[in-house]
Formats: sequence, C-alpha cells, structure tokens
Amino acid sequence: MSQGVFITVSQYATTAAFAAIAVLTVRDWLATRDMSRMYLALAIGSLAAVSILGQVGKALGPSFASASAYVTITVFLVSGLALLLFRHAVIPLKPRTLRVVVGIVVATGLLEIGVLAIFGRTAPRSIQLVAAAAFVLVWSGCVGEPSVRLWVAARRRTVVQRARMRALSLGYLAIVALLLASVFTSSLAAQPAFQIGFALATIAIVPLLYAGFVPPAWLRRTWRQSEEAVFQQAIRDIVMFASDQHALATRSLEWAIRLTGADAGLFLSGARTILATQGLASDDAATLQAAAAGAGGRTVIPLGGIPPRSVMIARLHVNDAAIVLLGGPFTPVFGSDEEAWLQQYAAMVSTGLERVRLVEALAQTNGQLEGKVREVTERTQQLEAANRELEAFSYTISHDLRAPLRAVSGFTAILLEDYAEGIPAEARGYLKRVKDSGEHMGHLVDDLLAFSRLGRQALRTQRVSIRGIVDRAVAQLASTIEARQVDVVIGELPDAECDAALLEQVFVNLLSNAYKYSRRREQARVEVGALEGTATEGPTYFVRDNGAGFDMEYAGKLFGVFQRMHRSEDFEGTGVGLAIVHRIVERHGGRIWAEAKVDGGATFYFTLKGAQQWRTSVAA
Amino acid sequence: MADIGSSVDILMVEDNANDEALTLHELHKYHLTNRIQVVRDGQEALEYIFCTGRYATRDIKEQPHVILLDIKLPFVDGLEILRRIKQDQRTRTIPVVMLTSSREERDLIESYRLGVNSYIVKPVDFDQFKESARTLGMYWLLLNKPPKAA
Repeated sequence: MSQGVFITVSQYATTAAFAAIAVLTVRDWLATRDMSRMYLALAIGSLAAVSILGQVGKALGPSFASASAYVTITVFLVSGLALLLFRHAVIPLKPRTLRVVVGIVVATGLLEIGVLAIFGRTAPRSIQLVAAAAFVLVWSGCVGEPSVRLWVAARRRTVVQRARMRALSLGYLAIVALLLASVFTSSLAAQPAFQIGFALATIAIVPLLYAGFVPPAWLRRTWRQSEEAVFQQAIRDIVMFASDQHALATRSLEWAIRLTGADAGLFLSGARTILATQGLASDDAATLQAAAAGAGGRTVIPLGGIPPRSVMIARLHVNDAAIVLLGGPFTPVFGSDEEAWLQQYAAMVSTGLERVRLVEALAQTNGQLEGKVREVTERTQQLEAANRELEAFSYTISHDLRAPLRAVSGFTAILLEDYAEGIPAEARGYLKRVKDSGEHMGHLVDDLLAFSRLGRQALRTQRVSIRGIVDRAVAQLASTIEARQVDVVIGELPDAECDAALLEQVFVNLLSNAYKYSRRREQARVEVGALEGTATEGPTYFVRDNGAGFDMEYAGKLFGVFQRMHRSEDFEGTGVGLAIVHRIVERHGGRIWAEAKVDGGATFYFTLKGAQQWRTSVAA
Repeated sequence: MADIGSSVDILMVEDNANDEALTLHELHKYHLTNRIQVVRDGQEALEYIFCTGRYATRDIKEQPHVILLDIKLPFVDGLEILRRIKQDQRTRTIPVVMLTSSREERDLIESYRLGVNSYIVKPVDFDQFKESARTLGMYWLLLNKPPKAA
C-alpha cells in the first residue's frame, strides 16, 4: 500500500536527516574541541540515536523494541540534559539550579525505567499517564526554557547576534515540537494520515535544527547582509571622513563587532597602543592584547571558559595595527567566511587609517610650519625695527658728524690760504696735518655710510655687460692715474645677472686698489678677466696687479671693515673698500677670495652666484 | 646781515655757525655777501619768507633771489619749509637750493618731489666746498634769470 510505503520512506528520511545533523555537530565539536559544542553534539546525536533505534526496532520486531525501550528512554533524556548543558555553556545557570535540574532529570529517568521494569507494557493507565506526563514535562522544560530565554534576550542585540540567538531558539522550539508531535502521534499512531503528517513535520524540523545549531556560512552571510546597506554608508564615512585615528578606530571597531556578531573588541596600533575598545571588561583588554601578540599567523584563537569565548584577529597593513574581536556565546561562529569578510574589511580600514595618519601628519607639519612662520615674522619685525634704528643712526652720523669735520678742514684751509704769511712754517705743517686728518675722517664717514647703506638697499639685478661696467670703472678712475704709466689689460668678460651700479662699485674699488698698490712699479700692469666657471657658480671674475701684494697669513682679515694690510704712510686708505666689495659679492650670492705674495702682486677673484655657504647662513 | 625789510639777494637758513661762517667767507671772496640774510632755525625762516612774527613788517613781494636751505634745522625742518614755499602761490617761484650734509637718497628724492631747484651736498673737503659755494652764488645770482615775483 502506497501510504505505508510513503510513511516508511519518510521515516527513514527523517532518521537519515537526524543522523546527518548529528554527524555535522560532532564534526563541529571535533574541529573546535569546544565543551558547548560537545553538549550540542551529544544532544543531537542522542536524538538521532533515538530515531535510529526506532527504525531498528520496527525492523527487528516487538522483542527488540521492548528491550530497547530502556535505552530509548535514557538516550532521550540524555538529549534533553545535553541541551540544557549546552544552554548552561551559553548562558550559565546558577550551580544550585543546575544540580536541582540534573537531579530532576535523573529522577524522571529512574521513574520511567522503574515503571517499565515493574509493569512492562501493561502498567495501569493512571501510572502510564503520570510517567508520560513527567517525561514530557521534564524534557520540554529542559529544552523549552532556553528557547524562550534566548528569544527574549535577543531583543537588545545587534542584528547578527539577534539572528543567531533566534535561530538557536527556533532550534530548541523545533525539538519541543518534535517531542510533542511524537507524544500525540503515539496515541494516534494507528491513523496513517497522522503518521504521514508526523513524518513530514519531522522532516520540516530538520532544517530548523540545522540552521539553529550549526548555521551555515550562507546563512551567516545573509544575516550580515541585512546590515549591508547601512554598513556601506558607514564604511565610506569611516574610510573617507574620519577626522583622527581614534575616531576611525572607534567607528570601524563598532562595525566589525556589529557585523561579526562579536561581543567586544579592541583596535590596536602597534603592540601597545589601544586606539579604541568596545564592550570589554577591565581585564579583557590585556587578554586580547596577549592573544594578538601570541597569535603568530593564526586569525582565530579559542579562549575556552564558560561561556566559551574565542578571539579573531584582523591585521591592518598600516602601523602594525589590528582589529581584535572577542566572540561570545551568541557570536554565530568565527568561520572562514567571517575571516574572509574581516580581512577584506581590515584592508578598507587600513586605507582609511593610512589617510588619517597622513592627514594628522600634515596637520602636524602645518602646525610646525605656522610656528616657524610666526617665528620668522617675529624675527623679520625685529630685524625691520633694528634696520630702522640703524637707518636713523646712520642718518644722524651722515648729518652731524660731517658738520664739525667740515669746520675743522674748512677753517684750517682758510688759515692756510688767507693767513699763510703770518704763520711760521712749522705751524703751517701742523695745520696741514689737521686739515688732512679732517678730510681723511670725512672719507671714513662717507665710506662707512656707503657700506652700511649696502646692506639695506634692494638689489636691482638684470643681465648686464660686465665689459661695459669695467670700461666705465676704468674711465672713472682715469684721473687718479695721472701721469703714471699703467698697462690695463681687459680680457674676455662674460655678461652676468647683477646690479650694475653695485658691480661698478666692485670694479672701481678693486681697480683703484690695483692702481694704488702698483704705483711704485715702473711698469704697472693691471689685468681684468674671467675664468670659466661651473654651472652653479658661473664664471669667476678677477682683477690682478703686479703691485705690493700682501702676506697671505693675514688674508683672513682682508675683507673686514677698517682692516688694512699696509701702513697708512705707505698706502693711504680707509680699510672699507674691500669690505664693500665683499658685501656686494655676498649680496649677489657669490664669494670672493684673493691670492697674493708680498711684493709679488695680488689677484682678487669673485663669483656672483652659487655660494652655498652664504645661502645657508641666510636660511639659519 | 641785511636790515630787516630791505631787499636781499640770498636767504640762508643755517643753524650751524661754522657752516655759515665758511659759506659767507667764500661768498665774500666773490663779493656776493653784501645782501645776504641768515636765519638760524626753521621757524624764523618761515616768519621771514611769509612776513609774519619777527618779520611782520616785511613786504612779501620783496623776496630773495635764492634761498639756501639746510635740511636738519631746529623747530621746522628744511623739507617742511620747502613744501610750504612751493605750495604757496606767492613764494613758489623763488629758487630754493638744498645745501645740506645729508647724503641720504630719500632726502634727495623727497626734495625733488617737493620741487627743489638744486640739491647740493656739503662736502667735507674744503676745496670742494669752496667750489660749491662759488658756483652756487655765481649761478643763482648772476646767471639765473628769476621770473618776476607775483
């Protein structure tokens, strides 16, 4: 009869499905070696065993069925107890409650076996009823309580954890439904319609058990996907707009926890620095840090304990940072799917962290730069003030110092010119000295002012012909040579970027020195020329004479103000000319040096750019 | 010094007695000192030029042929005097020569901006000084034809 065949097939199918789930849970337990999974494996395995025993009993006839009844009762109760212990592992019971419950379960088991042993299958109806009621109540209590409890507790959890808890709850409820169905069907077992319905219901329950206790990766992904829309927006915000490392760490950790269903977590930067934590008890932070430090290449580390916990680590490729998550009892599972998701997530967060670090570095640099700018501005203001003072000072000198000098040389001149006859020759000599000294001091003041003005004037650089400048300088000095015979040789002179007026001053000073110090030569020779220079320094210009020269030992003093290399009775001068030349060359960014020998002439070389020393001294 | 009110050839504004003596000495040599008025500070110079205060009785139409003006002066400085002279319709045609110790470029530029007729730096070298004083006197008194005073 087709109905009988159908029932038989569906019963076999149910048994096979139970066995398959049992295998899955056992495998899961063996893989994790986790206590709670062992209880679960035991519970589902027991149910599968009951189902198999039923089928075997049917096949072997009533004698086996009565013998296996003891085993069936025991195993069934074991399944209830195992589920309760699983619940204890997930949501711990108070020890006393646990003891009472275990006691009740054992007592019920003994009662059932006792009744069966004493009366066999012919117990009085009232006793059968009591035994059956006790059995159903105890078992339903063991299994039903966690389902209600999980369902209620799920309300305040994140989406993924809530889905996981509701699935567990549904798994428990399914087992209760299974039991109740079997109880009611046992009294109505004779009717095939009920048998078929029962078989179908049982088969329908199997997927619920599967999803509830061993949620597969696709289901866990579905749970995550319910958050995906919000998450996409959030991750964009985190990666692109987080203002600092702490904000980024806090928000990305929040989302990692939310989407993996973890209980808590922390965001590490390097081995020591914790950028953010969420939901951690005080000593958990240290535990997680230690786990992360000792993880090596592993990404998931079981911690054990009741309830059992595990750690999942995702390393960021920036700064040795890591997201470390703590999985609790309601964390679905840290499977390969979660690992892959978290690694991908970590890569995105890395990008954000890199960006934030750059932004922070930039802000810091900007801060330093602003400080420097303030400093420089302040110093510039101080310099400007000092410069103004200096200007006022030199203005006063220019005006006030020259007036008495004019009187000194002026009145002595009048005495010498208009009253010469009445003054003895010796006195006239002294008056001459007074007049000369006054005039010398006048030159000193003038030179000094010219020198100090040099530092303050702005350079007006343009491309100019050095040859033209030298020609003008030579012409300007022509009157000073007077009757002397001087060979002036002017060589090839490349053009240069410079301030023409100042450079003319350079050549006037160098040439007048050359004329002055070579005046004792019968055949004075002054040479102006240029040496081919480097790309950075440009050509080296030089002015050479065959005059008195100087001792190179004192070359260091050559360009100092008021430094003289000759006695004033030998060669007159103020000692400012070379200082002026030096300053002009410096202001152009060039350098100047000299080669000389006592009585062997002197050569002054200078460049107009590329003097590194000068540049750095300006920057400092 | 010329009598108050009488016509003079040169008004010299100079606070330094030495410079005054030296200038007069040279001008004297070339017989240019007979009609020269010397005032010692900026305020007196303004009073003289604009016929106020001590010089209230003077006729403003009787102006010197040339004014020699120092820049650094007590009370009112030379540039300010120059500005007042060149701003006033009655005095703007009087030739003004800055005769000063200042070699500062800004003084030179400012003077020309205000309309100075000549700018001479007093040299320390007495020979140069003499030369300046002489050419100055000769040029402004003998060669230059001033416009008729308004």
